[in-house]
Amino acid sequence: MVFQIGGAFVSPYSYRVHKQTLLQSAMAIQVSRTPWAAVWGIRWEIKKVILANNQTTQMDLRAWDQDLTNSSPLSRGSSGGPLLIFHVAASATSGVYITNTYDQGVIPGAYFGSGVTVQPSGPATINGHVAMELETA
Amino acid sequence: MVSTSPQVITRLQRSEVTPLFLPGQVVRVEPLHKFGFFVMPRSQTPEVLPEQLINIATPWSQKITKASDSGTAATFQREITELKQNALNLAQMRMMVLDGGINVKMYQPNAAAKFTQKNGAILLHKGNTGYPVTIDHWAQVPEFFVFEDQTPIFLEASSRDLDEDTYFARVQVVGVRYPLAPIRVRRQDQDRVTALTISVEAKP
Repeated sequence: MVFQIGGAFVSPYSYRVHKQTLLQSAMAIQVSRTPWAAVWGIRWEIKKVILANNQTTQMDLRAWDQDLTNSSPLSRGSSGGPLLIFHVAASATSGVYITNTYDQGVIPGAYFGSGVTVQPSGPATINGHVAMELETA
Repeated sequence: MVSTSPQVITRLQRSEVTPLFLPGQVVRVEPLHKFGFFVMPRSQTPEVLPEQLINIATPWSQKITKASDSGTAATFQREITELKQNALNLAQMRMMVLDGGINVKMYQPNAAAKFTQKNGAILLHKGNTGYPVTIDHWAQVPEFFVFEDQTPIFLEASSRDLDEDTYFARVQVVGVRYPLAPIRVRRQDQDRVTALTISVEAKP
């Protein structure tokens, strides 16, 4: 159940946080660990993504549900079978960032009960950046 | 926590922040043995207390440590002196948590948590306090009262974020201030007086 408030779709009694990470290699990296302890009952839902790339080749970013620090919470998906894939085009000029924004309404409501983990899958895999707006869902 | 005499419908926890009582009306401040009955003089009026932004933490010296995987978290509590009132003043306040990833417990006095159920106090956070404001549903925003400087509010912040420590555990408080004058009510009349009852302290 969501309500539209001022153009934003908001789940009742939820809140949002901003998380970000640099993308420096074709390795899995954590954007955010979900506060997965039972006492909180939180899982993240990605509401907005800004993916930035300054390479002259495009970048795909695979996202799946995993806490890279603690193996207790169950993972869902993997780099080979991600829950979501985001894309940003090649930059026309090396070193100059180009961004692609995925806003709410276009991102499927996948939940991340353990953590939001991403991996650039190229061709560009360095000097990228991803910023996400996550909602408690 | 609150009640009224049978002749008065409750005005507490309204869906708007509007004055609880008006000039000439009586308020019973509990615990009665410490506080008593008061009237707002006919010559006085309620006064809105505009939004106050209060950081429980202190940049860049007192941080809120990130939570542990198990859900336990280091807590930091401080007295919120910003909410103290002048002599013979009562404040009716509502509080929202501004920062995501922060839990807040409210105490009045410092050993008695408010919004408590059998298993403990409900943790206040941006979701359960900010969302009702967003949809203009003020009745669900936690309400509390401060009488003079005798009933201090303590806020305890902890993190529900596993990623990083923070120096921001901010809350916003809005309210209404009522100037009062004490009145004497005979013991045998205390339960017959038409008065709005509020509590500013947990009873022993």
